Amino acid sequence: MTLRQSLLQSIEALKKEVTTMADLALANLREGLTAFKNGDHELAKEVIRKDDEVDQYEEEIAKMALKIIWKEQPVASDLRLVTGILKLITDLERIGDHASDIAEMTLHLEEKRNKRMLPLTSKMAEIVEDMVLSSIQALVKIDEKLAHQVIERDDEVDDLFHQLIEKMTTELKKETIDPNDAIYILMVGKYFERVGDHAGNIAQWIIFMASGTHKNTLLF
Amino acid sequence: MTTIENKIIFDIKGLDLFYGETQALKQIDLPIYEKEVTALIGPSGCGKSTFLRTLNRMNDLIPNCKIDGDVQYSDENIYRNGMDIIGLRKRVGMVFQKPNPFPMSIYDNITYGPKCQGIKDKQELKEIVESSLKQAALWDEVKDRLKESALSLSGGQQQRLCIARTIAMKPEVILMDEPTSALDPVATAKIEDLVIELKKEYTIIIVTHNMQQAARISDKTAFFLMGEVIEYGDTSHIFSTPDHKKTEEYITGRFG
Repeated sequence: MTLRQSLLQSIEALKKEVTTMADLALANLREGLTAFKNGDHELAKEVIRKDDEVDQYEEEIAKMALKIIWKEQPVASDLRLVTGILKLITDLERIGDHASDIAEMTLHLEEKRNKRMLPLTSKMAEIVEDMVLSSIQALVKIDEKLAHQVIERDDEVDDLFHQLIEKMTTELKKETIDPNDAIYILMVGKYFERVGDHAGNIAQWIIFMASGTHKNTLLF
Repeated sequence: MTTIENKIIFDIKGLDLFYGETQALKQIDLPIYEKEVTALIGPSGCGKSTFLRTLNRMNDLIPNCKIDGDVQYSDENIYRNGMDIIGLRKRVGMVFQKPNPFPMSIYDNITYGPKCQGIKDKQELKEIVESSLKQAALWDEVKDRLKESALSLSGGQQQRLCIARTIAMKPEVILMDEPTSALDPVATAKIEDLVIELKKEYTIIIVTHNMQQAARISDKTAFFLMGEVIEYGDTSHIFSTPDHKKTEEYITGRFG
């Protein structure tokens, strides 16, 4: 007979809320990326508006996690799950913020802007979107192997960002890009790079949930 | 993650225990470390109290109890022929679930054991009483009424008196069999604080049904199930990342 139904139900409810928050943050990110790629100002405004929803989830989930801690005194895998969730919701919230930031930058760019950066920024967007999706899949199953794969991809994103800086510098020197466009495109590139970092952070907390180890340090 | 281990004071190897035909303990291997608190946890009937009683040969008092295996205390097999059992029980004291003060004064409760050992000097006995009650964190509460009956004390105070009584015999090891099960939360907290303080001087082995208590006060935890030790290790490891599925299931309350 499985005991502690109260704890079990609370944990299931917590996991469900985190998955919902993660799906929402990913959806906002995808729309932000699409808005940027297409210069779609209406979509960008929608993404900015929806960021509040992601923020509210962070607060709700924090309350649920704290309640489990004081009420149920979780240990072992339950403890690692609840505390891991308390940490990774911050990164999910930041991903939501960056989706909104990308949308904000898009509002400063016209559809007719310089498209020569698009292959690089599109590649970055593709990778970070995949990293966030994979981190959510890893979270659902507490999949250590998948979490490690997410972490490994972050170097690709960092590398592409450096390439973007180099290309932008060249274009600015040759005066083949509007400086206004250059600033906003570069900021978008930086936000992509930060999203990659946050997906990596989420993956690190998933590894903690599985093993108690965070960035190769046993936390107990 | 490794810590420098203290000396092993009790070394149990291949311990089997039978009550008649029923095997209550199966091939127990357990080293107990000096001046640490070792908690024994597990569901009812798993053998933890039976195991505790093997350490001071209290199981000798149970008819049809048979033991095989090696129980070494300070490198001496305590089940060898000619073992001084009274001496053993002086060095390995015991505190029980239900406080059991003698029906006499607080003072006489403490001096009973030393007097049986032949200590007669009044000043020496007085010092033993004060020292033991101070170590048990009870002195301030009873110093002005040492001649009053021990039965006039509250449950928590009676339990601390029992601990003081054990300490008066200058043991090396104190066995505690669910010492706070019968106490309210405040009395429980006082005993727990006391245990943490006492381990500076004594080795303590405690049976507890309260897993949060085991987590709070013990250095090592042994999980017993159906007469076997399933897992034994640092309490921090057991309660964060246990190695065995059964340990995980028990401490998370998935089964009882």
